[in-house]
Amino acid sequence: MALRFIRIVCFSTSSLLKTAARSRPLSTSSALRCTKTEQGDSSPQNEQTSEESTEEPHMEEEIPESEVRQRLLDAALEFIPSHGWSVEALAEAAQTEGLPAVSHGMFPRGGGDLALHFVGICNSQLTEQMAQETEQVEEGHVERRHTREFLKDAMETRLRMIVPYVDNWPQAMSLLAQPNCAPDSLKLLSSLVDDMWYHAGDRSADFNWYTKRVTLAGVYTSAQLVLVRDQSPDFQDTWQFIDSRLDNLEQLGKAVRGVAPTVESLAQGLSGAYLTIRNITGFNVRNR
Amino acid sequence: MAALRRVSVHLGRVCRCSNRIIVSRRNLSEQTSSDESDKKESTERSTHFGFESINESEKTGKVHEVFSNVASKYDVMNDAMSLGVHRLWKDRFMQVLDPLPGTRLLDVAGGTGDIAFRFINWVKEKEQQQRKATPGAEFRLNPLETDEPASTPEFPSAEDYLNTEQRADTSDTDGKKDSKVIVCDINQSMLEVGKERAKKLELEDDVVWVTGNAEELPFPDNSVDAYTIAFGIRNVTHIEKALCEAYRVLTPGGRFLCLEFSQVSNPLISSVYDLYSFQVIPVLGELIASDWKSYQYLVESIRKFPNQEEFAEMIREAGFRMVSYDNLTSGVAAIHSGFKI
Repeated sequence: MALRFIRIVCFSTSSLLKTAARSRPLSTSSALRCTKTEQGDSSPQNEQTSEESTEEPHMEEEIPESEVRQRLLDAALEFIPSHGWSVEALAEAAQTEGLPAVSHGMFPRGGGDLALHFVGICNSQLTEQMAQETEQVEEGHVERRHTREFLKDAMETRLRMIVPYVDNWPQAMSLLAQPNCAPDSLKLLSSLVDDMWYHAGDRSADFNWYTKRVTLAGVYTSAQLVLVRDQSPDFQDTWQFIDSRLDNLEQLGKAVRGVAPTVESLAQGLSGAYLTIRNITGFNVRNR
Repeated sequence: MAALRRVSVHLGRVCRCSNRIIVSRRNLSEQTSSDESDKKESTERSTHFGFESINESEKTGKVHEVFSNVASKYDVMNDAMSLGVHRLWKDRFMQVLDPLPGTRLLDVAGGTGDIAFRFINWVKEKEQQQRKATPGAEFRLNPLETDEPASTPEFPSAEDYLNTEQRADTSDTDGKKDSKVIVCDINQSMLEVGKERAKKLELEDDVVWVTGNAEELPFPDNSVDAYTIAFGIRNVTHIEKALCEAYRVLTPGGRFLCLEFSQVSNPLISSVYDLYSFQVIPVLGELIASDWKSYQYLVESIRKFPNQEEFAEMIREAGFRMVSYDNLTSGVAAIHSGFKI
C-alpha cells in the first residue's frame, strides 16, 4: 500500500491508480474511482468527442447519492457503542468505506440523521413482520389475535430493536427531539403507530382514528423512557409497563363509551332548553 | 445566463474532468446551442475586472496587484468593512466543515491563514476531546511528544504533507492522526502576512505555505480530503477551471467548501447593503489602506459574481454532487458545499 501510493504520487499513471482503487476497503470509492480512471484513460478522445457524443451514458456508472448516504449510515451503526450518535461515528463509517472523515458533511444534521435512519430501519423491519402476520391471517393459516395482545407484542418487538443501543439511546432521543429533527421523527412515530393499528385490524374512519394513534404514540414514547432506565433482567419492567398502559387505554376506551350516551343526551337537553328560552324571549331571528 | 453558457462551453473544452460534466442532457442542449456564440467570443475573450471589461490574460495580473497592495492591511480592513462579521462567517464555515483529526485540508486563496488557523484549532480541540474520552490516554506523560518522531527538523514540504502513507502510519497505536493543512495562494505577499501571523500564534509548524494558482494547483490527483476557498474564487479568472482543479485534487468522498460573497435577495437589505458597499467601503479603503481602487474592485467584483443558484450549478457541472448552499447574513455571503463521490 505504502509503495503503491508513492508510485502514484510520482507518476500518477491511471493503471496504478486502478490498483490503488482495488486495494481500497469498499466499493463506494473504489467502484467510482475505477470508472473515473477508465474515463481518464480515454480522455484524449473524450475531449474531442464530448461535445458531440450527447448519448454517453455516464450517469449509469455512478452510484446514486442516496445509496452512498445509505451505505454510510448503515456502516455507522456499528460505531454507535463507541462513539455515540455522533459525527464521529459517521466519520469512522466513512473511513471504513474508504472515504475521508470529512464526508460526514453529507449529513448536515450529524447524529440526528443517523438516529432518524436507525428509527426508519427499525420501523420498516417491524412493519414487514406485522405485514407477514396479517397476510397469514388473511390466508387463514392463523387466527387473528386479540388487538391488545397484538399491540403489546408489536411494541415489545419494536422496543427490543433498541436494546443493542440502549446505553446510547437517551442521546438519540434528545437528538430526535431537537427542532431540526423533530418534524421527521414525528412523522416516523406517526407512521409507526399507524402501521401498528392498521395491522392490528383497526379500520376506523372517524375521530377515533386520531385518538387511537395519539394514545398509542404516547404509550410507545413513554415506554422508551422506561426502557432506558430499566435495570431488571430482560427488561421485564418495561414489558410490564406496556401491559399496564394498554390496560389504561382499554379502561379509557370503556369509560368514553360509557359516558358518551350521557353526554349526548345532556347536549340534546341543553340545546333544547336554549331554543325554548330563545323563543320565549322573542330572540328567534328567523321570525324577524 | 450567457455567463453560464460560456462556462459550460469552457468546461467541455478545457477541463480534464470534462467527461464528468457531460452527464446531464439538459446542459448539453444548452451547450450545443451556445457553440456559435462561443466562436465569436474565442477571438476576443474578455472578462470582468470589477465593472471594467478587460482581456482575460490581464485579470490574473490585475488581481495580483490588488492583493499585493492590500496584503499588509488585509485583516484590519476585513474587520473594518464587515464590522467583524467575517469572523463569524469563518467560524460558521469551520463549523460546517467540522474536520476531525486526520483530515488533510487544502485551503486555496487563504493567504493570511484565517481558515487554516481555525482548522488547526478546531482539530486540536477535537483531539483533546478524544483524549479525554479514551480512558488510559491520560496515563501517558506527554502524549504529544511521543507522537512526533522528531525527524522533521526542517520545514516540511508539500509532498511530505500529501504523502498519505505517512498519514496511515501516523494514525497508529495511539489513535492520534496527523492532520494537515496546506495554504495555497497565488500571491506571495499575502502568504508572507500569513506566515507572520502563524509565527505570532505559534502555529508555524502546522501549516505548509505554497504559492500556486487555483487554476493549476501544484498537487497530485486525489490528494486532499477537503478543499476550502474563502473569499477567493471570485478573483479567479476562470472559476470553472478552479472548480475542476478542486475536483481533481480531492480524494473520492472529499468535500469542496466555498465561502463567498453572494447575492442579497431581500430588496430592503440589499439597498442598504449596496449603499454601504459603494459609498462606505471605498472610503474606508482610502482611509485605512490608502487604496481606493482596490476596494472599489472588491465591491464591484462581488456584484459580478454569480448568485447562489448559478454558482451551485457551476459546482454541479464541475462534477460535484450533493451540492448545497447556506446563506449567511441574509445572503451577503454564502457557504457552498459539494462532494466528490
